[in-house]
Amino acid sequence: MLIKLARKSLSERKNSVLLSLIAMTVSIFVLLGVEHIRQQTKASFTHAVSGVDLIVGARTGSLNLLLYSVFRIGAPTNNIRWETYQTIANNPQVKWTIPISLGDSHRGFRVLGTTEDYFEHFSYGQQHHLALAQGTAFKQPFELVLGAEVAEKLDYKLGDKLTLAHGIAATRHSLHTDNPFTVVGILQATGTPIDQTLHVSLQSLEAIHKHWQSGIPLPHQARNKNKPDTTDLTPNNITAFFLGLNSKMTTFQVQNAINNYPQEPLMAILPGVALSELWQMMRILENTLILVSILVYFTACLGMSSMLLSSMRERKKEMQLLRVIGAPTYFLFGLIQVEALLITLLAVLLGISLLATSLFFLQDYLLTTFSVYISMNILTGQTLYAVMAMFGASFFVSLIPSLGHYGESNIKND
Amino acid sequence: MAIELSNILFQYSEQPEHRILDIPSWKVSTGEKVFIHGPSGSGKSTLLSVISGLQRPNRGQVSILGSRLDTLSARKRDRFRAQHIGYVFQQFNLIPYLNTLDNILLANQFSQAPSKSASMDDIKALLLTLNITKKDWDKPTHHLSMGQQQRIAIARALINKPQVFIADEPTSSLDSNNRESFMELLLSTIAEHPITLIFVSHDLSLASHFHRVESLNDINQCGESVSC
Repeated sequence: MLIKLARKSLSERKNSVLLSLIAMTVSIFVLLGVEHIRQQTKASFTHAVSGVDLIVGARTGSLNLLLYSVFRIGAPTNNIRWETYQTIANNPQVKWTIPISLGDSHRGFRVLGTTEDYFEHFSYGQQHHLALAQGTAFKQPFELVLGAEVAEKLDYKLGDKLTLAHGIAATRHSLHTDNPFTVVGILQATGTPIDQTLHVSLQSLEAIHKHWQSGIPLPHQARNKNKPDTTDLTPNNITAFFLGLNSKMTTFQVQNAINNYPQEPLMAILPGVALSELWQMMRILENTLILVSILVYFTACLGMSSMLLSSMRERKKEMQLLRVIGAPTYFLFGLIQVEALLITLLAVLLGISLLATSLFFLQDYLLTTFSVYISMNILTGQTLYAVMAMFGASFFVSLIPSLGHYGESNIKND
Repeated sequence: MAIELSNILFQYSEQPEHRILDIPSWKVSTGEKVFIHGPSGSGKSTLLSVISGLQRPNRGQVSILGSRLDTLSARKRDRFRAQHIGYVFQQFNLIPYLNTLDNILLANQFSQAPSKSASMDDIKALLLTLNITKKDWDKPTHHLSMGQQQRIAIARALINKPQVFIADEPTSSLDSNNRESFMELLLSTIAEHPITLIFVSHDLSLASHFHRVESLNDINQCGESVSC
């Protein structure tokens, strides 16, 4: 009966209730949206690399190394000599290594030069290995494996030919037009930066840069357009490499050895540690966002509370009548609370469906524009806590109108 | 005795110099029908809220049907009121957005006594005796006429089979035709039960229906005409 009374009383005051309902819905949408995207971004970053014990690059900031090697954000400061890489890779404590070479691009997507080990050892998410959706891994020079998204966006199929550009921006002068690549494989979607990457062998990269210096093709060198020079394609440098160890126990020992490598200034980072450094930097931003969305929600709660409070004035006679027919004061208290919680419940349901709908439409956009994969599944444990906190907040804020009636419930109009 | 008041003193704490009620002694025996008249400001509403247990006097004994309301807790007074007292106001007797049946069920719910629990049949029979036709039962009550609303108010007040019935200017918002039919219905419905009726009105023409007529100024020593 209490709920029926609250429901009918709310529908009796449709206009003002609708306004606070909209305010609550929007605020819940913002709060849950921020929280969800925050978690998903974090998960997306965390999923981008797994199973890698150390990332090794030229000495730089650990964040910089993490960002350019895993997320293709920013630029490497320096290269590692091939001999140095070989020495570390042959260390008995090292189980496997994946060398990577960055610097070229194709229509805005980064090109990653690597070896077959990449497909064998690199994993993402919960130890998922890379899998080919079509074709095979590259074996010959000038063969290329596309990330799922590159293939989809640029509409490439197996056997298509494409040229790479030197550097990130594709100007006419920096195209490696003389050496076209052939698509031999397309990877399955991973929801990580791998999807936006083109993979070639280190040898291919070496071959297309053979007669280049400082980013410009050498004009006087004899170049045979039809027959690329494939005599010695051992690379001189690589950008960085991923490393897996035989035993995790030796991680710090190996890291220390690499950091103190005498012949070249190197740096080895643990992906997890570097990621948590990243989170520390992001925390202020995150907290600000959350604080703002909490304030938005709180404002909406206060709006609802003031709506209920002003309704109390209109409903003075109704409250008095309820008292006379025997309603105890806590019934009136409960009535206001149930009204507030009904609005909150409705707003939560509406906010969640609004969020789910928006995510449904924005998922692709977020993935391509920010390379962040946002899952559609909003109803996580965290959301549950957030929703419970919302109900708590609306309960406490509604104490203002619902306790306010106590002072007014006495009949004083003699 | 249905109602026994003695040594009642009522004043608001913020205005201690201004007494609202000062009743040395006032009694109504069971089954009696009393008509009380008096100008506004004579403590009428306060007297009724003291009798119904909505307010507690600052001093004195309030004994209704043998229960000392002045000593009961607020919670117990609320339940006592729901179970034993029927109350009809001048207007706003029904929750406007609930329909007729829900209004009556709501009142019935507060009695919280299984013996008072009314069946749908009881409610329907009661509504029919009060000339509320079936088609009006499911309408929100603010769609009904004032005359209909006041009659539904009687049903609402009677549903818990009260022993004391308080009518506070119930006819003031009715026109003369409706007023007569309201009075007839109220008195005939009440006559079927052993109910003590306290009827307050400034309309002395209604006094003819009652065998005991009292002026509030005679009961209350603090009325407008008497300075306290």
